[in-house]
Amino acid sequence: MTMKYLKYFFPAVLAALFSACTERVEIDLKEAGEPKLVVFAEITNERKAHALYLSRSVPYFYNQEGPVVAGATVRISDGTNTTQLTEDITQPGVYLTPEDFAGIPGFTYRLTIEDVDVNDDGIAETYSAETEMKNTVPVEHITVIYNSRWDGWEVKLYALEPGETTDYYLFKVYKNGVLYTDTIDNYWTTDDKFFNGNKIDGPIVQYFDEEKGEIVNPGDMVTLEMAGITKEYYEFINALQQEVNEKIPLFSGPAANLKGNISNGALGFFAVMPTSRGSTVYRGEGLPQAVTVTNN
Amino acid sequence: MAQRQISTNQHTTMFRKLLFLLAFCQSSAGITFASPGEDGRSERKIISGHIKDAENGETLIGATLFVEEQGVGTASNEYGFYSISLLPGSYTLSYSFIGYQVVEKKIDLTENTVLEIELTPESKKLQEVVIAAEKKNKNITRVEMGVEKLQPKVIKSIPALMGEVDLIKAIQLLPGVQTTSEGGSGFSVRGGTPDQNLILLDEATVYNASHLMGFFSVFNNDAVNDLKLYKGDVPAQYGGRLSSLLDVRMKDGNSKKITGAGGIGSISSRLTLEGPIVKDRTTFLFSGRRTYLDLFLPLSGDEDVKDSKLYFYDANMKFSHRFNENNRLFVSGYLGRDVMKSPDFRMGFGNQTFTVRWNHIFSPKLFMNLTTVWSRYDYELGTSDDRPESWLWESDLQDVGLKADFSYFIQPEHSLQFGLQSFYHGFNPGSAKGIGSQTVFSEYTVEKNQSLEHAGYVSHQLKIGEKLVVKYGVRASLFQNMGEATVYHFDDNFELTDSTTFAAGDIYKSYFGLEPRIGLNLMLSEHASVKFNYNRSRQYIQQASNSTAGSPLDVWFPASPNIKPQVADQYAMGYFRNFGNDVFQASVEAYYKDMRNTIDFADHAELLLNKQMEGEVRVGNSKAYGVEFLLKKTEGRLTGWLGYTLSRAERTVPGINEGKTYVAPFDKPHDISSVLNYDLSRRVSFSANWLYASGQPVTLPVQRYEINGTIIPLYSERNGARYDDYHRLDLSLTLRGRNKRNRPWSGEWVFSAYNVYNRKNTWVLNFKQDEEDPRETYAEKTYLFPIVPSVTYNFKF
Repeated sequence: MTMKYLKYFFPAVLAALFSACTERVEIDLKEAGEPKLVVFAEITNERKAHALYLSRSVPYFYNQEGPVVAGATVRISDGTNTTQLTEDITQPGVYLTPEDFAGIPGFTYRLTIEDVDVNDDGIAETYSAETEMKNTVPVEHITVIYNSRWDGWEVKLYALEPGETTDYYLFKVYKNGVLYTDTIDNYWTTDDKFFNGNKIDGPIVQYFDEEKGEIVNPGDMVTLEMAGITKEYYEFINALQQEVNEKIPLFSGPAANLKGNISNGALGFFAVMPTSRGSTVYRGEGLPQAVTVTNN
Repeated sequence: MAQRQISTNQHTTMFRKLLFLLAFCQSSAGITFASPGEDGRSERKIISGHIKDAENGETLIGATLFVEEQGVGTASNEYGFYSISLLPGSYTLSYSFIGYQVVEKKIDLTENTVLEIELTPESKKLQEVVIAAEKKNKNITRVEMGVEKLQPKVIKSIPALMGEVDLIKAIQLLPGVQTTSEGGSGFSVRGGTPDQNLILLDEATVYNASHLMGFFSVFNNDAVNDLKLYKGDVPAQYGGRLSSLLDVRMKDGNSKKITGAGGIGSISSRLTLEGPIVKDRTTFLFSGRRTYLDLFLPLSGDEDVKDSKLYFYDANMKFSHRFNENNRLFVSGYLGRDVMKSPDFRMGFGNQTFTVRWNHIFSPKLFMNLTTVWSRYDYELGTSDDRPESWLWESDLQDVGLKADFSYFIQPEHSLQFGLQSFYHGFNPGSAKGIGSQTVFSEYTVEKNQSLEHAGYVSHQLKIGEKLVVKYGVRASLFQNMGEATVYHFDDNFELTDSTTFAAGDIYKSYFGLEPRIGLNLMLSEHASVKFNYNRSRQYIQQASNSTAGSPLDVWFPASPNIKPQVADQYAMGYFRNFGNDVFQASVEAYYKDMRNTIDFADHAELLLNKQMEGEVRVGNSKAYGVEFLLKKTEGRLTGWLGYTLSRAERTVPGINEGKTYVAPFDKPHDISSVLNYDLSRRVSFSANWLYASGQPVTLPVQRYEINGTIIPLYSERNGARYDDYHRLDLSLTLRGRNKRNRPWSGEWVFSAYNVYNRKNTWVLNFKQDEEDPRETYAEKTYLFPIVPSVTYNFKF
């Protein structure tokens, strides 16, 4: 979490000091090479039709919508039961589980993808991934507070952290039931370094940035979703954010590819995770909060 | 306990080996070691003393004495001491030093003689044709190679960024030395990393030589007497780093009269005061510098800016005392700090060093220097206010060391150097905790690690016949990890498996190694020589940093049961040739460096506040090779140098770049630097430097893919591309005031411009998603410095 603060702090210092200048430049990149399969899914313990997305990588300056991968055979197995996903008729490349599908914490899930030929060599490839559904902790309650210094609304978490294990959490936020954290670079994550076995007593775990037009009005219901994720997915999200955010020569390490969990050279991640939720109605700046709790 | 036993044994073995080596040196040199200077055993008589500046009494390091009749000579050491033994007779002694008038002494040598020599600086005469240039071929005669020496006045004449004279920026202009990042004070020597440079200020290690996120270095040029950069041939006395030694010596302080110097620059002011407390016996020096950018912040209308702080300061101080001819004491210290504070965050970091040295002359042939050093680097970072989310993050490291160094001047043809040293390193890699009155964070502390680093060395220089000089020696080093500590164990996938705890004082891991060093110099003529050099070095502590520019937060970590020491073997050959009465010095040096246990870090490594940071380390091999060309002109109206380096540095590290060899982060195949200073008249001089270097290696994307609305780059190979070539021109003009007899002070104006033709050199390339059309990605270049003009006024009294 500290690194997140650093990212805000140092560019400000540097910008204040030096008139660092930026400009868009044309550069020549090396030969792109063969396209790769891109897989993404976040399966939770909610009972619903969960989606899995298949697409293809493209040359860096492709600058069009990326091509989806249709017609694949996709299965998820928990060791005893195997579920076949069906491709959404309206959205090619999107594969859905049955409506009654829900992951169970403690189970290990195996994904297999067949009947795809991403590199167009006429031979179908097979891909697979395996991951465990961890546990999460119940959200006791949350508060939403406007911070005038940053011009934004801070979402603070109150919960109890188990001490025996090293845990990793992912936070998403909804406003009036609509997912706000809709891209992976807006995720907030944390490990339990600073909370292990303690009461989580109000750290900021999500944020609405007024400057980006993310407004919370009095009366809005804010819902925090907290998910227990694997170390691999935690590292994947963090690496992704490092690659997507601005690089600063003082702090940024060399650029590197993300380490996903799909076999056979495919990119992306197959994540399964249990979620818990807490909600509150924002009353306005400086006003006491109504505490409403909805545990999953 | 068993482990402690082993280390004691290793200790004993080490000393036994050393003693053996000493004995070997004696027998090979055919001399008797037990009788330094004892009369009667040798018919030779000794001339010894110190060589100093006549105007301020400052020590002259590396000044030479040449005995005309014998064709032999010697040079003064770091404390200005020299010694030479000759058969009784009449001699003409000529003492010289670059930029000083030659002093000749006739002597009838019948008994041991002490000659304290003072040399007068050459005044800035215009039509001066240098006459006494005979002994200016030191670059040809000495065995050392890969060594660059810069004097403060040369450094001062180089145009500087924002007018801040900076010695590290000056050495970055030497062949084989690279800037690690635009405007930064990190440097890479022969393709190495910045943490492979040993930076010493009066013998104390400076762990972070930068101010203000790296844009300025900690060295205040006004307080510096001498600096030497060893790019390969590091003397056996020093070790612990693979790439280089930067040896910076502070002035002792004027022993004749109280003087001062200072300057008012665009971003900082400086003041130095020095003088005798007791004339020719006790001196002091105090030098301070502070930036004052922040003094203007309150003028800002912006509330946030108004409450911000942003400055750095540093102070150097030194006392020296001469008890008598044979005993001198030097006490010196440095203190520097950067402070940044905004309404939300604050940060501070800085170095402190403290050195006490005692020079003792046992006999005119045997010189000893006993040094105790202490140095510390620390930083703290946190929130400024008291909120439940407030936090504080601190880290520090500390060195305490004791060194005894001996120089034994046997005969003009032989000299021996030997010594012992022990250092303690205590590193606190970091601790972060909540500090608000109702904190939401518990504490996370990475355990302190402690280690000992011992070394013994001996080095013998021998002149064989008229043409050949040989220097050989060995350094034996022993490194020990000391409890209390927790050592984490990792499996082949670098996943944590287990840990072991060791009690306080336990030596739980030791590494021992010999570091042979050999140098040969074959004089082809008075003006040409060929040199060869082999050097092994071992590095036991290193920095956890994988960024190009480095940051003040980077922490150091030692060799350990998980991390083996880095080892380098360097082979170098050079041809040195002087022209035009030694006014032009030309050299070509080729080197090949083979390194083992090279450290790199896993992709997306978490190097800060990580108890299992060792699990992020990847170890492999690396090599570097290259040729350096240098043409230097040291006298006349036009002085300066032109350097060109052709080089290559690469690494092979399992776990990085799929195990394939990749270009090292500071590999810059072509590097040109030209530094010129032209005296237009006695009062006006003009300086220019132009540099060119191949672009920095970088990993660029070849493909992209989309996950949940975010476009992610896909890279091909590590460091597979380069930024655009780097080049830049800097200019400066110095106008000196007339020396008025009734005015006790003199001053000069320095006008300079950095990056004169406004080249937009890439600092970083970022790849972004277009805000309007998220499907479009583009490259964005950030460059730091456009043309930066500055004015400085310097004065002295």
